Amino acid sequence: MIDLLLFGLIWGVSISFIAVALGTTWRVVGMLDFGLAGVYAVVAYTLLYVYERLQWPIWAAIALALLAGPVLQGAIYQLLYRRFLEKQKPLAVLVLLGLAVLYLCENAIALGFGSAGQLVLTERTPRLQFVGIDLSLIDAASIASLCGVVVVLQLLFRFTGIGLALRGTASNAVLASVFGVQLSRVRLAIFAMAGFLIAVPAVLSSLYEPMTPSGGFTPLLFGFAALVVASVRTGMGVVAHALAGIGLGLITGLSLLIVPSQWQLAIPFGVMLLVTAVRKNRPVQRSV
Amino acid sequence: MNFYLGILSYAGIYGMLAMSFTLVHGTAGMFTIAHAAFFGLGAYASAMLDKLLPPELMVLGMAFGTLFAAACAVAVAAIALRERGQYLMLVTFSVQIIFSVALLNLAFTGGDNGVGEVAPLQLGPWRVKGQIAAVLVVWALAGGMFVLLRYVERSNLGRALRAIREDEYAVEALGADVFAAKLFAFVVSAALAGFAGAVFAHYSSYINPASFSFEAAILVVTISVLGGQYSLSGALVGAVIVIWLPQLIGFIGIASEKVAAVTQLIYAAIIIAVLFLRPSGIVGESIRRFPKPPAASPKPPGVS
Amino acid sequence: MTVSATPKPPGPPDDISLIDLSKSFGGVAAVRDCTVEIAAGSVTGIVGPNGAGKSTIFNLMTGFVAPDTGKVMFRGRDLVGSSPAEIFRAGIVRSFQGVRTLTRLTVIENLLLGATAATALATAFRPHRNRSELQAAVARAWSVLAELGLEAAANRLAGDLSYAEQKLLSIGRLIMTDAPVVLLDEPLGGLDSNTIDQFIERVRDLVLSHGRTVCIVEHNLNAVRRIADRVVFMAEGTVKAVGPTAEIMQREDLARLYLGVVPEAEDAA
Repeated sequence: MIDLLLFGLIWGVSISFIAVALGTTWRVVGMLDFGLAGVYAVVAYTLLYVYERLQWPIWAAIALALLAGPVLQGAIYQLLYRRFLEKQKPLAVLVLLGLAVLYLCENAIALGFGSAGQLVLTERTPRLQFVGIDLSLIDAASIASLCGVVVVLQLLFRFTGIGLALRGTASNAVLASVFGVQLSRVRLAIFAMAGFLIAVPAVLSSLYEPMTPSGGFTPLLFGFAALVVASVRTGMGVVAHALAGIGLGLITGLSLLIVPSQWQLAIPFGVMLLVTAVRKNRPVQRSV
Repeated sequence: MNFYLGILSYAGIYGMLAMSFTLVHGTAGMFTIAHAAFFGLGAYASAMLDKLLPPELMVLGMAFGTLFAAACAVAVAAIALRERGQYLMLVTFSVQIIFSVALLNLAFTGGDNGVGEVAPLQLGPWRVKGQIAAVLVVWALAGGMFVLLRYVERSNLGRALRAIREDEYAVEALGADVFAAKLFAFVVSAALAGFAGAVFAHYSSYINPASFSFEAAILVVTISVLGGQYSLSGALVGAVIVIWLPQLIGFIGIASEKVAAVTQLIYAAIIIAVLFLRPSGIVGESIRRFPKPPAASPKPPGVS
Repeated sequence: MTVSATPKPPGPPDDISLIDLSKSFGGVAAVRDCTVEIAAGSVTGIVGPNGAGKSTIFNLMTGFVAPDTGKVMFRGRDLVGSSPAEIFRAGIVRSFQGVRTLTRLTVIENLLLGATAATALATAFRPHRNRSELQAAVARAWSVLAELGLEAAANRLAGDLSYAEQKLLSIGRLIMTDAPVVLLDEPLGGLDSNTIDQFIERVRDLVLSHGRTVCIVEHNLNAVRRIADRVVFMAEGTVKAVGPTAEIMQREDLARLYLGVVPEAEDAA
């Protein structure tokens, strides 16, 4: 059971990163970004390519892959999403754009690398002993980086100018622009940030699991479920999204005790539907 | 020749599926990504029931598939319709995922292998034999669905739904029962998707979960966006184009293992191109004109 | 010339009584102990500085917001707890601040909605009734278009109209509903003086045709003076004064509350 909890925790850490990326993008920009799964895949394959084919040292490869995330996501914003966001297009349009980006990334990778799973590190990673629990270095790094990222983001949002601009845009974009916030810059910042947040789990998981072109999709699904479970309505919700991710990971891990693994994907969505169904809607009160 | 007729039949079936999506999204403004699930519910329900029925009663099985999809839609709507916009999309998204997972893992649906030897299409005593008959039947059904949905679109309810798409609260203030109207659109749309699924099952004689996955749901949305998201005829146009696409790609000599990836790339490019250049799609929203009625005859005196 | 479908049937009195209405949002009292009688067939202006709670009163009356305490009595029923659609069927209809035009529908379709939205679902399965209702509504809609001067734009997308035209359209929609009680929420906002004159005529028509009851929240005091029989003055969420228009408009203490200054003697309207 400890094994399952641990597995759930590590899986939950990945989901948390994605949930924070999805959640902050949604709060600030109003878009549910499926394209992040494509960026995930590109980051993973960047790591693969640079380490395996170009024979770079592992640390340099990781650094480049982590950089590729924000750069790519920022570029996608500038080239594709930007004009639709500025014109306040409806949800379906934005979601479709994200999906198109996802398809572009996945299939470009498939054409270039083939669809078979690729492994980056074939050697065993060093393991750590921590309070009687046996963790791999990568797992420990995941947990540590999530904690670090959450702290940094909280500080960023609370105490910096850009953080204030982001929060202002999240609560009322029009008002924020009246007060001098440059919306296009704020949006670029949040997309770049999301790109980085998605790059972390992409790098971490591709180090020891076989990576496929559509490998970003399942983590993204879990991220969406965590997003809904966190149900953030005000503020940026970094901690809420992170906790929801961990929670969903743990639930999924524990569910393996009772449910065969092929059903794994249904668990977070079942939880999500349950939360949605049970959550009380405020009666009658609507801003008109 | 048969091969092309077959594609035309599939185009008709996906056209029906896309038209059902037009009702719920183009007319009523609800963006759902669950349509492949309702398609699949209709397909599996009717395929499995028809194994137990004599071939003459196949229409019963198809009706069952349609109603089963509708019933599931009511259950989904109970959760989904309390939400709006993004949340609605996510709820339908999760329904689609759960459906796909269930389909793959439940023993009685055949798992990965799906359901085979589905009885071929038969309407009462008349067995639809041959590709030409199949194309005619499929497109006749599509035509029927078109007429039905057009009636709904042009009715007072259709106008109310289009208004709800723009501004729910304004329409509620004018006395419309917004929830009931949305429920109607959602359930009818799912029922029609289920019907299309039933036709699909009997036409294909073999169904498996791959046809009802999230990718299939996105395919429906692609068809609708390309052909014209606000237009029923656009749905049909989009279906014809999109279903032909993989064949065209095969034609220009792309290696067969790469066809799937190239096809999806082109879908993505199509979506982006349409959204950039002509967001309402090939066939735009049709505007219904109401001409001024001729002057009324003068009323006889004494009547107010 | 006024337009309406049927003469007003005899029935229970159409007075509206707001009794002890209160509403707080997160600790801030938007409306407190509001008690007002609105007589049937009258035009009542609701005036007061910003933040006085005027629009909240409308929201409370039409079911968009539930009050913390209080009742809204109309035709012998307490409307509190009813949905906006139910309140519409009870006979009260409202406009919104701004325009809330349905931009992707045509101008005439916007009007048709006023007459057919409430029964849309019921007529979905009855093609005959759908058609006859629609025909009647089309005929009335063209009359309303003629009155509003929007005939030429009838089959154009409503989103193409100017702001003033869209405002007129929203009044037209209310006329099409045939409701006995009409609540207008700052209908003159953003309009120039010509359009305002047109509007005042429309509002007068609304009332004179079949003795509709009209409540109008407005900042344009000249307009209020021209249309309203009685005025309710609100500030800080409570009713400060109620009375005939001329009387309320002359009270210096209220003017001070509103404007912060005693007004000069005003020109005749």
